[in-house]
Amino acid sequence: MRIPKESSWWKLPPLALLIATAAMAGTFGRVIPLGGHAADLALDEARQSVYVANFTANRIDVISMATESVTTSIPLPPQPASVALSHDGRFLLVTHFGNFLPPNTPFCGLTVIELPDRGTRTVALADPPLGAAFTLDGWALVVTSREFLRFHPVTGAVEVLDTVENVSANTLPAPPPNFPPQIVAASVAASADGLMVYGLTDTIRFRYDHIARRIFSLGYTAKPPLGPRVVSVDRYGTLYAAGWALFNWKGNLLAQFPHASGQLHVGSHAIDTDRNLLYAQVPEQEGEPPVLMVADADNLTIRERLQLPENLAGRSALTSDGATLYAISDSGLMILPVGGWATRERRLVTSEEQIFLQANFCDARAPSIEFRVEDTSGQATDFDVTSSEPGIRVLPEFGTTPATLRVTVDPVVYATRRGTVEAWLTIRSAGAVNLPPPVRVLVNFRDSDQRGTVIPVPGKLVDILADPVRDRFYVLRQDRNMVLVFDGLTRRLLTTLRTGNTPTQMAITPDRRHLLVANDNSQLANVFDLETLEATHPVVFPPGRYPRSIACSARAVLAASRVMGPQNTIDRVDFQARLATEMPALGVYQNTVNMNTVLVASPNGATILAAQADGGVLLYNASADTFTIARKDFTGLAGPYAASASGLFLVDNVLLNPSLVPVRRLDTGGGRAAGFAFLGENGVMTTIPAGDLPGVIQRVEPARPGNIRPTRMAESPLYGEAGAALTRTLAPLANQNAIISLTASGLTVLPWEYDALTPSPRITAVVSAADFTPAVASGGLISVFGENLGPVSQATSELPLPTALAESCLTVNGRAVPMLYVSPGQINAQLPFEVEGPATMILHTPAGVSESFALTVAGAAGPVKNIPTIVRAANGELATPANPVHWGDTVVIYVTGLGRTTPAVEQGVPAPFDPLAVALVQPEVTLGGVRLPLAYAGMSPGLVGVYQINAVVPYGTPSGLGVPLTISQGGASTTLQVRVVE
Amino acid sequence: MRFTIVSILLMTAGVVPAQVWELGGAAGAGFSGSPAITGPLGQASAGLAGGYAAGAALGQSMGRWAGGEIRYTYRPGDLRLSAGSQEALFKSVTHTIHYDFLLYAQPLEARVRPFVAAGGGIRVFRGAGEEHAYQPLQDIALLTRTQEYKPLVSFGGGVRVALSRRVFLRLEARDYLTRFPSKVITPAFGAEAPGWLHEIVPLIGVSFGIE
Repeated sequence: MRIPKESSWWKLPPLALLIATAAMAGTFGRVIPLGGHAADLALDEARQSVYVANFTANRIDVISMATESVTTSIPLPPQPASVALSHDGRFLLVTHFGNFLPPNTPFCGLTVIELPDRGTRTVALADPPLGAAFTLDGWALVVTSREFLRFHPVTGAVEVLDTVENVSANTLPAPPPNFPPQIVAASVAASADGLMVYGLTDTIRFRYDHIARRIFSLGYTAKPPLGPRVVSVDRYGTLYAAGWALFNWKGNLLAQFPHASGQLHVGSHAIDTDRNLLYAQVPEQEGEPPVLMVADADNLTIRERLQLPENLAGRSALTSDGATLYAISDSGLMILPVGGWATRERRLVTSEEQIFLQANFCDARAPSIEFRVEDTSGQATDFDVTSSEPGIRVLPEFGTTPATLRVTVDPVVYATRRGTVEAWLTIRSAGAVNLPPPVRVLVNFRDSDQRGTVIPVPGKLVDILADPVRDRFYVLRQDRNMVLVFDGLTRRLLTTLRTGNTPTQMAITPDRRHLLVANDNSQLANVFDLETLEATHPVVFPPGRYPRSIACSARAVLAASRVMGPQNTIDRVDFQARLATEMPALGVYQNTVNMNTVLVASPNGATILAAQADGGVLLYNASADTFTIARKDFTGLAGPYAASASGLFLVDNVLLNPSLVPVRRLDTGGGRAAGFAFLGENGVMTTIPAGDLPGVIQRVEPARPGNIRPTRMAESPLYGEAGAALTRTLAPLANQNAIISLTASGLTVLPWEYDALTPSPRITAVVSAADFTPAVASGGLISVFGENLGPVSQATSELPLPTALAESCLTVNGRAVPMLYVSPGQINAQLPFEVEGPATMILHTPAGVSESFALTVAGAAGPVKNIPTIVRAANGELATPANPVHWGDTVVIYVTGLGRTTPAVEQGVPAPFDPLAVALVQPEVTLGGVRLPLAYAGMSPGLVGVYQINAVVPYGTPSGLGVPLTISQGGASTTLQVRVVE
Repeated sequence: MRFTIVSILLMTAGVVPAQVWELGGAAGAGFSGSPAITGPLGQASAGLAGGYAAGAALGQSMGRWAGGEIRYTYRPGDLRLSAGSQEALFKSVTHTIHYDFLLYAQPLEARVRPFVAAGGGIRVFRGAGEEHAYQPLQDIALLTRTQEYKPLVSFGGGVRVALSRRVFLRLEARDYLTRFPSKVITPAFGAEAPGWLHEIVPLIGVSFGIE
């Protein structure tokens, strides 16, 4: 097991935040000092007591769960190191690690405390005991430095189960400062059902199966050491955490904490089986402020970070209801009310983890957006916010929760900037116990020639893969350990799939049925059924192997593994058995590869290319079922990699022929190649130019030298990082309507023919979106019809509505118009409230600028439009003949074009909930000639450009299948028929 | 309609004074007819889905060969529209109250007395389902959450068996005939409602004689 020593921009902000806020924030948990180094604890919920082995003070301290204070102490022989409570609650077994060297007197043994009367009995052992745990039958498993023993607390009988090999106990006295986890250097824990016991020493991990009465032991090496030296077991013994790693009962490493420092005496963890959570302190560096992580108990995805008053320092135990965690800490015992961390503790959360703002040449206004800061406990908690970029401001900069903050971008600062600027908003609080993650702000500046529609996707995205047969594509979000599944047509997120820890790369099996995901911090590769989008049995790798890259040829599935050993290797996967094994050799070559090796299969499954960051390349030939080529023509490789069906390959910016001989270095214009994808015989390449410039996409024809129609992108594509230099960031979709690039803000969707020459746009009509008549109103929804209005079809659910969509932007009297939908023939948008009377509309697209289109916009009391949308409040469904309006019903009538409101609502922005935006000129509604009392008429809260009228249908209203409902405002009216029933 | 019922009762009371009274209950099932609703977009049969029926009756003897009774029948059952493989159901209930004259084939003292019955009253149709924006076959008719009252004509017959001097077993059936309830089963635009809806309700019951 080994931790990668990589530097990542991604972890810098949280780390910086952690250090910056450590001194000022609230903390979670209460410390009970015990005056000595506590070594172990046991919970006795029946007696509402916690027993703590005080290693240096030679006693058991008894702490009341009710009063959270020490009630008594039980003096014992020297060095009580671990404690275990029998399942019937009658016995407390204490091990004594008095492994003193002469002239000191050693004492190694056990003490049995009969809890009802606190009577004690001591048994001497030949070897120092490392730990003990009771099993369901009332016997205790005692692990010494030489043997696994069974001990009966009543009879004192001792049975030898097995011998322990390669374990040497530390001796006393130890040099100061040394703490019990460093001295004893072992931990043993049983599942709550008493059927499984797991243990950990410096050199072995073991499992004791109570039913089989067998010890399963495995030697290991770990770098850094497997600290904290604690074993935590779930209720049923199917899962256990040891040090910084999480294992299943078979011993397969499911996940590990990346970047763990491996300190034996700092940290702790406990598994909450009911909530599928792991509470853990696993420090990343020495001396860092203590933080309790709340992580998923399957792949260690961090959900929350809570600041602790001091370091945990040994075993933790959770009460059976999951409400309270008791943990050994530096001062003695820490009590953590984990059952209420999500709701009862002062915890700051933000409404957004990433904010995306887009400025464009159509819109002269400063980009701006609001987000919320709240305390999940509902309390008023202080906060302050700072931005890492001077041109990106947030107001207010401090306050108390709940609060709405506005992020504003100074366009002057970025007047010449094109592409995306990144800033981090750091949120701190003196009162909150958690470390709220910083909010990432991305501001995109673009000109009309910059292609691509940016779809913001938060998180660290590391790989993208288009499904070859389904209209979907997959993106790996590494920081949340998940695959994001997107629809290829709408580009909407369909679902997410949970992976192992730190997923690095994806592959699809030749039958196109399964998606495989390699993980850098799990010794398994996930397998998902692409028909059902459900996880199936993962591929298990041998101990010490982390699959970082995986590829499927027609004959073999291969994985490039980071190995805890002398060399990293390529492993072969038996997909049916879901097992991987190291290949004895790579054909005639030794099986040793660079840690940063990526594999990619050709689309026809004939070959697998292995590209290494140190410059080496290898080729697996499926027909020969072996590696046939190995070359090293470069001192280093980074950036994209791809394989074609025709035998060509690309790594970095170098085209390789079927023999992996470099045939051409592609021109990157002084920048770096970031993405590449083969499109048949040819390809497309994205590059990152030098300087603060957006990315460039260009076509590549192997037989044709030079750049082919280089086109500026909306923003820069992503590029690899140290430790993961080779990346895949470009995915042409199977439907051949778009090419997706991983870019700074998430995804950038480029039309398949992004560089095609198209005629300038032409507007032929501007009508109300409600009834397609030319009468349009300020703030109303409109449809613009014409030709070449946009290069692709694109709808948005982004709020506020963007003023640039699908690379088109629309202006009316020079004001940018927020848009909902753009296609080549139609645009749906919201007219600005400020526009009234004669107006001129102009459309900008990558192909050019349209001629001016003249229209007239009605003002405060616009022409009411009969969007035939009447909803019965009684059941929230549309009023139709099958769902008629009844006497006494309240109906909600959605319309557009009710004109200005008070307070005024900004264009493109959802109408507020409080205060409501009431129509300046109130409409009148009649049904069958009967005037309906209005409860509200104004903008519909949360919607853009949509108004609603809430009205009550009086008793006695004429009934019938088609009763006329008339809405009148400012001299204009509209009528529709509704069914009314008594 | 309330005036009509009261008039019948008063008239009956005047004709037959001082007779033996019977009070009983009965349970059975209802089987509605399915007349067609025809519209420009198709045709569907409409009525009540089959279901149980239960009721009570208060009867009186009018000499040795005749009698009369006032009867209430509770009949829950979905409103139903069907055409081909499509079907729309909507929870509903009917309440029927009517007065029938009974003519017996055997005299009062006979143990087994077959009879025929005819009378009239009122039937309440009440649509009680949940309305939704879409309903199958809505282009032909609309099943509606409302209620309407319809005059009723009742025909039927059965047999009364004396189990003891004061306990009688009754096996009988009624045909309830009303105008089609077009408020709860509303023909869509352009569709025409059928004229009548009838329902056969066989019942088995026990009654007790009161002198």
